[in-house]
Amino acid sequence: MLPQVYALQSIGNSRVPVPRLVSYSQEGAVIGSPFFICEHVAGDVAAPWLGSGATEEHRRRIVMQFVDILAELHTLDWEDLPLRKLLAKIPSGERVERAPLTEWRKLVSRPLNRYYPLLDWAGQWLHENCPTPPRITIVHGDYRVGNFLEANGSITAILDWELTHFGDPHEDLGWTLVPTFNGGSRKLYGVMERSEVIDRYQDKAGITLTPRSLAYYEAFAFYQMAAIQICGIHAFEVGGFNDMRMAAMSTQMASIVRALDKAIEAAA
Amino acid sequence: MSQSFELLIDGMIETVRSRILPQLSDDSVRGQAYGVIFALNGLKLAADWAIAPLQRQITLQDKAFAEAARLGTALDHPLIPSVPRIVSAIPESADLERLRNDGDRKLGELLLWSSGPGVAADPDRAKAIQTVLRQIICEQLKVDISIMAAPMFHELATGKELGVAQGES
Repeated sequence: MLPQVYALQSIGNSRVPVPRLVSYSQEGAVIGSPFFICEHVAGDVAAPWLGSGATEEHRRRIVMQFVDILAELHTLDWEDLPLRKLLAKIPSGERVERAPLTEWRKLVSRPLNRYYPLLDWAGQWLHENCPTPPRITIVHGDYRVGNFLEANGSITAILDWELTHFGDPHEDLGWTLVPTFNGGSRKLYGVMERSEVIDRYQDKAGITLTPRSLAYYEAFAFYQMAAIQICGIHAFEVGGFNDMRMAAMSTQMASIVRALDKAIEAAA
Repeated sequence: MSQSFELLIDGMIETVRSRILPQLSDDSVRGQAYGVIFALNGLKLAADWAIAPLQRQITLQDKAFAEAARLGTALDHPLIPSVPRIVSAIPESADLERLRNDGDRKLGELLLWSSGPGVAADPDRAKAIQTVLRQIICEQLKVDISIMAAPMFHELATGKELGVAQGES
Protein backbone atom coordinates (compact mmCIF):
# COMPACT_ATOMS: atom_id res chain seq x y z
CA MET A 1 0.00 0.00 0.00
CA LEU A 2 2.82 2.40 0.80
CA PRO A 3 3.88 2.90 -2.84
CA GLN A 4 0.40 4.30 -3.55
CA VAL A 5 0.56 6.57 -0.52
CA TYR A 6 4.03 7.85 -1.42
CA ALA A 7 2.89 8.36 -5.02
CA LEU A 8 -0.15 10.42 -4.07
CA GLN A 9 1.95 12.41 -1.56
CA SER A 10 4.67 13.02 -4.13
CA ILE A 11 2.68 13.71 -7.26
CA GLY A 12 -0.24 15.65 -5.81
CA ASN A 13 1.44 18.97 -6.44
CA SER A 14 2.54 18.22 -9.99
CA ARG A 15 0.74 18.44 -13.33
CA VAL A 16 0.06 14.71 -13.17
CA PRO A 17 -3.58 14.52 -12.03
CA VAL A 18 -4.08 12.26 -9.01
CA PRO A 19 -6.69 12.14 -6.24
CA ARG A 20 -5.65 14.03 -3.12
CA LEU A 21 -4.58 11.76 -0.26
CA VAL A 22 -6.87 12.28 2.75
CA SER A 23 -5.61 9.76 5.29
CA TYR A 24 -3.74 6.48 5.60
CA SER A 25 -2.41 4.00 8.13
CA GLN A 26 0.09 1.25 7.45
CA GLU A 27 0.05 -0.24 10.95
CA GLY A 28 -3.58 -1.33 11.02
CA ALA A 29 -4.24 0.26 14.42
CA VAL A 30 -7.31 2.13 13.15
CA ILE A 31 -9.39 -0.48 11.31
CA GLY A 32 -7.32 -3.63 11.82
CA SER A 33 -5.59 -3.54 8.46
CA PRO A 34 -3.62 -1.02 6.40
CA PHE A 35 -5.75 1.51 4.51
CA PHE A 36 -5.66 4.78 2.66
CA ILE A 37 -8.41 7.22 1.75
CA CYS A 38 -8.27 9.65 -1.13
CA GLU A 39 -10.68 12.27 -2.34
CA HIS A 40 -13.45 11.44 -4.80
CA VAL A 41 -12.67 12.45 -8.34
CA ALA A 42 -15.42 12.62 -10.97
CA GLY A 43 -15.01 10.66 -14.17
CA ASP A 44 -15.52 7.40 -15.99
CA VAL A 45 -13.10 4.56 -16.62
CA ALA A 46 -12.56 3.46 -20.21
CA ALA A 47 -12.75 -0.32 -20.72
CA PRO A 48 -9.42 -1.39 -22.23
CA TRP A 49 -10.55 -4.71 -23.64
CA LEU A 50 -13.31 -3.11 -25.68
CA GLY A 51 -11.51 -0.05 -26.90
CA SER A 52 -14.26 2.41 -26.18
CA GLY A 53 -17.71 3.41 -27.34
CA ALA A 54 -16.33 6.95 -27.52
CA THR A 55 -15.75 8.57 -30.90
CA GLU A 56 -12.32 8.43 -32.48
CA GLU A 57 -12.00 12.20 -32.09
CA HIS A 58 -12.77 11.94 -28.37
CA ARG A 59 -10.28 9.12 -27.88
CA ARG A 60 -7.58 11.06 -29.71
CA ARG A 61 -8.13 14.02 -27.42
CA ILE A 62 -7.83 11.74 -24.40
CA VAL A 63 -4.84 9.80 -25.62
CA MET A 64 -2.84 12.95 -26.37
CA GLN A 65 -3.31 13.98 -22.73
CA PHE A 66 -2.47 10.43 -21.66
CA VAL A 67 0.91 10.58 -23.41
CA ASP A 68 1.61 14.11 -22.19
CA ILE A 69 0.90 13.10 -18.58
CA LEU A 70 3.28 10.17 -18.88
CA ALA A 71 5.98 12.51 -20.17
CA GLU A 72 5.26 14.79 -17.22
CA LEU A 73 5.54 11.90 -14.75
CA HIS A 74 8.84 10.76 -16.21
CA THR A 75 10.38 14.21 -15.97
CA LEU A 76 9.44 14.88 -12.35
CA ASP A 77 12.41 15.69 -10.17
CA TRP A 78 12.00 12.95 -7.56
CA GLU A 79 15.12 13.44 -5.47
CA ASP A 80 13.24 15.17 -2.63
CA LEU A 81 9.89 13.44 -2.94
CA PRO A 82 8.46 10.88 -0.45
CA LEU A 83 8.52 8.28 -3.26
CA ARG A 84 12.28 8.23 -2.92
CA LYS A 85 11.82 5.95 0.11
CA LEU A 86 11.05 3.10 -2.32
CA LEU A 87 14.68 3.08 -3.38
CA ALA A 88 15.69 1.94 0.11
CA LYS A 89 13.87 -1.38 -0.49
CA ILE A 90 16.09 -2.31 -3.42
CA PRO A 91 18.87 -4.68 -2.28
CA SER A 92 22.36 -3.23 -2.59
CA GLY A 93 24.02 -4.34 -5.80
CA GLU A 94 20.69 -4.69 -7.61
CA ARG A 95 20.21 -2.47 -10.65
CA VAL A 96 17.28 -0.13 -9.96
CA GLU A 97 15.66 -0.76 -13.36
CA ARG A 98 15.91 -4.53 -12.91
CA ALA A 99 14.43 -4.67 -9.40
CA PRO A 100 10.79 -5.07 -10.58
CA LEU A 101 11.78 -8.05 -12.75
CA THR A 102 13.50 -9.65 -9.76
CA GLU A 103 10.30 -9.30 -7.73
CA TRP A 104 8.11 -10.75 -10.51
CA ARG A 105 10.54 -13.67 -10.94
CA LYS A 106 10.18 -14.51 -7.24
CA LEU A 107 6.40 -14.67 -7.66
CA VAL A 108 6.62 -16.70 -10.87
CA SER A 109 8.99 -19.24 -9.31
CA ARG A 110 6.49 -20.36 -6.65
CA PRO A 111 5.52 -23.99 -7.35
CA LEU A 112 2.12 -24.51 -8.96
CA ASN A 113 0.33 -27.42 -10.59
CA ARG A 114 1.38 -26.26 -14.06
CA TYR A 115 4.89 -25.07 -14.84
CA TYR A 116 5.56 -22.98 -17.96
CA PRO A 117 9.13 -23.63 -19.20
CA LEU A 118 9.15 -20.66 -21.57
CA LEU A 119 8.10 -18.32 -18.78
CA ASP A 120 10.94 -19.49 -16.56
CA TRP A 121 13.45 -19.15 -19.39
CA ALA A 122 12.04 -15.73 -20.37
CA GLY A 123 12.63 -14.47 -16.82
CA GLN A 124 16.29 -15.40 -17.16
CA TRP A 125 16.52 -13.87 -20.64
CA LEU A 126 15.02 -10.60 -19.40
CA HIS A 127 17.42 -10.59 -16.45
CA GLU A 128 20.45 -11.04 -18.70
CA ASN A 129 19.36 -8.58 -21.38
CA CYS A 130 17.99 -5.68 -19.36
CA PRO A 131 19.13 -2.49 -21.14
CA THR A 132 20.67 0.54 -19.50
CA PRO A 133 17.96 3.20 -19.05
CA PRO A 134 18.30 6.67 -20.56
CA ARG A 135 17.64 7.92 -17.03
CA ILE A 136 16.03 6.62 -13.84
CA THR A 137 12.51 7.99 -13.53
CA ILE A 138 9.34 7.36 -11.56
CA VAL A 139 7.56 4.47 -13.31
CA HIS A 140 3.81 4.14 -12.78
CA GLY A 141 3.99 0.37 -13.34
CA ASP A 142 0.42 -0.07 -14.62
CA TYR A 143 0.01 2.90 -16.96
CA ARG A 144 -2.69 1.85 -19.40
CA VAL A 145 -6.13 2.58 -20.74
CA GLY A 146 -8.48 1.60 -17.93
CA ASN A 147 -6.37 3.13 -15.18
CA PHE A 148 -7.50 6.73 -15.51
CA LEU A 149 -10.69 8.68 -15.06
CA GLU A 150 -11.98 10.98 -17.77
CA ALA A 151 -14.78 13.54 -17.72
CA ASN A 152 -15.87 15.93 -20.46
CA GLY A 153 -12.94 15.13 -22.68
CA SER A 154 -10.29 15.55 -19.99
CA ILE A 155 -8.32 13.07 -17.89
CA THR A 156 -9.23 13.89 -14.31
CA ALA A 157 -7.04 11.36 -12.48
CA ILE A 158 -4.42 8.70 -13.06
CA LEU A 159 -5.24 5.72 -10.83
CA ASP A 160 -3.77 2.47 -9.50
CA TRP A 161 -0.35 3.45 -8.25
CA GLU A 162 0.30 0.24 -6.30
CA LEU A 163 3.02 -0.91 -8.71
CA THR A 164 4.84 2.40 -8.87
CA HIS A 165 8.63 2.23 -8.60
CA PHE A 166 11.79 3.69 -10.04
CA GLY A 167 13.17 2.43 -13.30
CA ASP A 168 13.44 2.82 -17.05
CA PRO A 169 10.80 5.11 -18.61
CA HIS A 170 10.51 2.65 -21.53
CA GLU A 171 8.78 0.30 -19.08
CA ASP A 172 5.56 2.36 -18.90
CA LEU A 173 5.52 2.76 -22.68
CA GLY A 174 6.02 -0.96 -23.29
CA TRP A 175 3.13 -1.74 -20.95
CA THR A 176 0.74 0.88 -22.27
CA LEU A 177 1.23 -0.25 -25.88
CA VAL A 178 0.27 -3.89 -25.25
CA PRO A 179 -2.70 -4.58 -27.58
CA THR A 180 -4.64 -6.25 -24.73
CA PHE A 181 -5.05 -2.83 -23.15
CA ASN A 182 -6.01 -1.17 -26.41
CA GLY A 183 -8.96 -3.22 -27.58
CA GLY A 184 -6.62 -5.63 -29.38
CA SER A 185 -5.15 -2.80 -31.48
CA ARG A 186 -1.45 -1.97 -31.86
CA LYS A 187 -2.49 1.68 -31.77
CA LEU A 188 -2.71 3.36 -28.38
CA TYR A 189 -6.39 3.48 -27.34
CA GLY A 190 -7.05 2.21 -30.87
CA VAL A 191 -6.32 5.63 -32.38
CA MET A 192 -2.69 6.69 -32.01
CA GLU A 193 0.02 5.00 -34.08
CA ARG A 194 3.07 3.84 -32.14
CA SER A 195 5.35 6.16 -34.07
CA GLU A 196 3.15 9.09 -33.10
CA VAL A 197 3.16 8.00 -29.44
CA ILE A 198 6.94 7.82 -29.50
CA ASP A 199 7.37 11.17 -31.28
CA ARG A 200 4.93 12.97 -29.00
CA TYR A 201 6.42 11.43 -25.85
CA GLN A 202 9.99 12.28 -26.86
CA ASP A 203 8.96 15.80 -27.73
CA LYS A 204 7.19 16.37 -24.40
CA ALA A 205 9.61 14.48 -22.13
CA GLY A 206 12.88 15.28 -23.84
CA ILE A 207 13.83 11.63 -23.34
CA THR A 208 15.15 9.76 -26.38
CA LEU A 209 13.61 6.33 -26.71
CA THR A 210 15.46 3.47 -28.36
CA PRO A 211 13.76 0.71 -30.40
CA ARG A 212 15.77 -1.97 -28.60
CA SER A 213 14.71 -0.81 -25.14
CA LEU A 214 11.11 -0.44 -26.24
CA ALA A 215 11.15 -3.97 -27.69
CA TYR A 216 12.70 -5.26 -24.46
CA TYR A 217 10.00 -3.62 -22.35
CA GLU A 218 7.25 -4.90 -24.62
CA ALA A 219 8.57 -8.39 -23.83
CA PHE A 220 8.80 -7.43 -20.15
CA ALA A 221 5.13 -6.34 -20.34
CA PHE A 222 4.06 -9.85 -21.36
CA TYR A 223 6.24 -11.31 -18.60
CA GLN A 224 4.59 -9.01 -16.05
CA MET A 225 1.17 -9.90 -17.44
CA ALA A 226 1.96 -13.60 -17.06
CA ALA A 227 3.27 -13.00 -13.53
CA ILE A 228 0.02 -11.26 -12.58
CA GLN A 229 -1.93 -14.26 -13.92
CA ILE A 230 0.35 -16.53 -11.89
CA CYS A 231 -0.54 -14.55 -8.77
CA GLY A 232 -4.23 -15.17 -9.52
CA ILE A 233 -3.62 -18.86 -10.10
CA HIS A 234 -1.59 -19.08 -6.89
CA ALA A 235 -4.37 -17.38 -4.93
CA PHE A 236 -6.87 -19.93 -6.23
CA GLU A 237 -4.70 -23.04 -6.19
CA VAL A 238 -2.63 -22.56 -3.05
CA GLY A 239 -4.21 -19.68 -1.17
CA GLY A 240 -7.65 -21.28 -1.02
CA PHE A 241 -9.14 -18.07 -2.40
CA ASN A 242 -12.25 -19.38 -4.10
CA ASP A 243 -12.75 -16.59 -6.58
CA MET A 244 -13.56 -18.00 -10.00
CA ARG A 245 -12.10 -14.90 -11.64
CA MET A 246 -8.73 -16.09 -10.37
CA ALA A 247 -9.29 -19.55 -11.87
CA ALA A 248 -10.45 -17.97 -15.13
CA MET A 249 -7.16 -16.09 -15.34
CA SER A 250 -5.21 -19.31 -15.78
CA THR A 251 -6.96 -19.99 -19.07
CA GLN A 252 -5.12 -17.05 -20.64
CA MET A 253 -1.62 -18.19 -19.72
CA ALA A 254 -0.87 -20.07 -22.95
CA SER A 255 -1.63 -17.11 -25.21
CA ILE A 256 0.33 -14.71 -22.98
CA VAL A 257 3.40 -16.98 -22.84
CA ARG A 258 3.28 -17.42 -26.61
CA ALA A 259 3.10 -13.65 -27.09
CA LEU A 260 6.03 -13.31 -24.65
CA ASP A 261 8.14 -15.70 -26.73
CA LYS A 262 7.37 -13.71 -29.89
CA ALA A 263 8.20 -10.45 -28.13
CA ILE A 264 11.55 -11.84 -26.98
CA GLU A 265 12.29 -12.95 -30.53
CA ALA A 266 11.61 -9.39 -31.67
CA ALA A 267 13.77 -7.90 -28.90
CA ALA A 268 16.72 -10.30 -29.25
CA MET B 1 -5.88 -24.97 -18.26
CA SER B 2 -3.52 -24.90 -15.33
CA GLN B 3 -5.55 -26.30 -12.48
CA SER B 4 -6.28 -29.94 -11.91
CA PHE B 5 -9.84 -30.81 -12.90
CA GLU B 6 -10.84 -31.74 -9.35
CA LEU B 7 -9.44 -28.54 -7.85
CA LEU B 8 -11.31 -26.44 -10.39
CA ILE B 9 -14.62 -28.20 -9.70
CA ASP B 10 -14.07 -27.84 -5.94
CA GLY B 11 -13.41 -24.12 -6.46
CA MET B 12 -16.62 -23.70 -8.46
CA ILE B 13 -18.67 -25.48 -5.80
CA GLU B 14 -17.13 -23.40 -3.03
CA THR B 15 -17.73 -20.20 -5.00
CA VAL B 16 -21.40 -21.00 -5.44
CA ARG B 17 -21.70 -22.04 -1.78
CA SER B 18 -19.80 -19.21 -0.12
CA ARG B 19 -20.14 -16.26 -2.51
CA ILE B 20 -23.32 -16.70 -4.49
CA LEU B 21 -25.77 -18.54 -2.21
CA PRO B 22 -25.47 -16.01 0.67
CA GLN B 23 -26.61 -13.29 -1.76
CA LEU B 24 -29.70 -15.17 -2.88
CA SER B 25 -32.94 -14.78 -0.92
CA ASP B 26 -35.43 -16.34 -3.33
CA ASP B 27 -35.82 -20.05 -2.42
CA SER B 28 -36.47 -20.99 -6.02
CA VAL B 29 -33.26 -19.30 -7.19
CA ARG B 30 -31.36 -20.89 -4.29
CA GLY B 31 -32.66 -24.23 -5.49
CA GLN B 32 -31.16 -23.49 -8.92
CA ALA B 33 -27.81 -22.77 -7.27
CA TYR B 34 -27.94 -26.08 -5.38
CA GLY B 35 -28.77 -27.70 -8.72
CA VAL B 36 -25.50 -26.30 -10.09
CA ILE B 37 -23.59 -27.66 -7.06
CA PHE B 38 -25.21 -31.06 -7.54
CA ALA B 39 -24.29 -31.10 -11.26
CA LEU B 40 -20.70 -30.07 -10.46
CA ASN B 41 -20.38 -32.85 -7.87
CA GLY B 42 -21.58 -35.25 -10.56
CA LEU B 43 -19.03 -33.93 -13.04
CA LYS B 44 -16.28 -34.35 -10.47
CA LEU B 45 -17.11 -38.04 -10.17
CA ALA B 46 -17.70 -38.76 -13.83
CA ALA B 47 -15.51 -36.42 -15.93
CA ASP B 48 -11.91 -35.31 -16.35
CA TRP B 49 -9.76 -33.30 -18.76
CA ALA B 50 -10.04 -34.51 -22.34
CA ILE B 51 -7.29 -37.01 -23.10
CA ALA B 52 -6.58 -36.05 -26.74
CA PRO B 53 -5.04 -32.57 -26.09
CA LEU B 54 -2.86 -33.98 -23.31
CA GLN B 55 -1.67 -36.77 -25.61
CA ARG B 56 -0.90 -34.23 -28.35
CA GLN B 57 1.16 -32.17 -25.90
CA ILE B 58 3.08 -35.19 -24.64
CA THR B 59 3.80 -36.27 -28.23
CA LEU B 60 5.18 -32.78 -28.91
CA GLN B 61 7.30 -32.94 -25.76
CA ASP B 62 8.65 -36.33 -26.87
CA LYS B 63 9.57 -34.76 -30.20
CA ALA B 64 11.42 -32.00 -28.34
CA PHE B 65 13.28 -34.52 -26.17
CA ALA B 66 14.29 -36.59 -29.20
CA GLU B 67 15.58 -33.49 -31.03
CA ALA B 68 17.43 -32.22 -27.96
CA ALA B 69 19.06 -35.65 -27.50
CA ARG B 70 20.11 -35.76 -31.15
CA LEU B 71 21.52 -32.23 -31.16
CA GLY B 72 23.12 -32.60 -27.76
CA THR B 73 24.99 -35.85 -28.33
CA ALA B 74 28.11 -35.99 -26.13
CA LEU B 75 27.23 -32.70 -24.40
CA ASP B 76 26.85 -32.63 -20.63
CA HIS B 77 23.18 -31.60 -20.58
CA PRO B 78 20.46 -32.42 -18.03
CA LEU B 79 19.05 -35.92 -18.28
CA ILE B 80 16.66 -36.28 -21.22
CA PRO B 81 13.78 -38.76 -20.77
CA SER B 82 13.57 -41.75 -23.09
CA VAL B 83 10.73 -41.53 -25.56
CA PRO B 84 7.94 -42.43 -26.15
CA ARG B 85 6.79 -41.85 -22.61
CA ILE B 86 3.17 -43.02 -22.99
CA VAL B 87 3.29 -46.75 -22.50
CA SER B 88 -0.28 -47.60 -21.46
CA ALA B 89 -2.71 -48.44 -24.26
CA ILE B 90 -5.58 -46.75 -22.40
CA PRO B 91 -3.99 -44.02 -20.29
CA GLU B 92 -5.80 -42.21 -17.51
CA SER B 93 -6.27 -38.47 -17.84
CA ALA B 94 -4.64 -37.78 -14.46
CA ASP B 95 -1.57 -39.83 -15.47
CA LEU B 96 -1.27 -37.93 -18.74
CA GLU B 97 -1.60 -34.61 -16.93
CA ARG B 98 1.20 -35.62 -14.57
CA LEU B 99 3.34 -36.78 -17.48
CA ARG B 100 2.73 -33.51 -19.36
CA ASN B 101 3.57 -31.44 -16.27
CA ASP B 102 6.73 -33.48 -15.59
CA GLY B 103 7.68 -33.02 -19.25
CA ASP B 104 7.28 -29.25 -18.95
CA ARG B 105 9.62 -29.18 -15.95
CA LYS B 106 12.19 -31.22 -17.84
CA LEU B 107 11.89 -28.92 -20.86
CA GLY B 108 12.45 -25.97 -18.52
CA GLU B 109 15.67 -27.52 -17.23
CA LEU B 110 16.90 -28.04 -20.78
CA LEU B 111 15.95 -24.52 -21.88
CA LEU B 112 17.75 -22.94 -18.94
CA TRP B 113 20.76 -25.15 -19.63
CA SER B 114 20.73 -24.06 -23.29
CA SER B 115 21.30 -20.42 -22.34
CA GLY B 116 23.70 -21.12 -19.46
CA PRO B 117 26.08 -24.09 -19.18
CA GLY B 118 25.17 -25.22 -22.70
CA VAL B 119 26.55 -22.02 -24.19
CA ALA B 120 29.85 -22.59 -22.42
CA ALA B 121 30.00 -26.16 -23.75
CA ASP B 122 29.04 -25.54 -27.38
CA PRO B 123 27.30 -22.26 -28.22
CA ASP B 124 26.08 -23.29 -31.68
CA ARG B 125 24.55 -26.55 -30.60
CA ALA B 126 23.11 -24.98 -27.42
CA LYS B 127 21.45 -22.31 -29.58
CA ALA B 128 20.09 -24.99 -31.95
CA ILE B 129 18.63 -26.90 -29.00
CA GLN B 130 17.13 -23.72 -27.58
CA THR B 131 15.51 -22.86 -30.92
CA VAL B 132 13.94 -26.26 -31.36
CA LEU B 133 12.72 -26.36 -27.76
CA ARG B 134 11.12 -22.92 -28.05
CA GLN B 135 9.44 -23.85 -31.32
CA ILE B 136 7.99 -27.08 -29.97
CA ILE B 137 6.92 -25.52 -26.67
CA CYS B 138 5.05 -22.86 -28.69
CA GLU B 139 3.33 -25.65 -30.62
CA GLN B 140 2.37 -27.15 -27.29
CA LEU B 141 0.93 -23.79 -26.19
CA LYS B 142 -1.14 -23.76 -29.38
CA VAL B 143 -2.82 -26.94 -28.16
CA ASP B 144 -3.77 -25.09 -24.96
CA ILE B 145 -5.01 -22.14 -26.99
CA SER B 146 -7.12 -24.40 -29.22
CA ILE B 147 -9.14 -25.51 -26.20
CA MET B 148 -9.33 -22.05 -24.59
CA ALA B 149 -12.77 -20.48 -24.16
CA ALA B 150 -13.22 -16.94 -25.52
CA PRO B 151 -12.06 -14.37 -22.93
CA MET B 152 -14.74 -12.71 -20.79
CA PHE B 153 -12.65 -9.86 -19.34
CA HIS B 154 -15.56 -7.44 -19.56
CA GLU B 155 -17.96 -9.74 -17.74
CA LEU B 156 -15.37 -10.70 -15.11
CA ALA B 157 -14.53 -7.09 -14.36
CA THR B 158 -17.96 -5.51 -14.56
CA GLY B 159 -20.39 -8.32 -13.78
CA LYS B 160 -22.39 -7.35 -16.87
CA GLU B 161 -22.83 -9.39 -20.02
CA LEU B 162 -21.29 -7.85 -23.08
CA GLY B 163 -23.84 -6.58 -25.59
CA VAL B 164 -26.80 -7.07 -23.26
CA ALA B 165 -28.31 -3.82 -22.11
CA GLN B 166 -29.24 -3.47 -18.45
CA GLY B 167 -32.67 -4.91 -17.74
CA GLU B 168 -32.58 -7.23 -20.75
CA SER B 169 -32.56 -10.95 -20.16
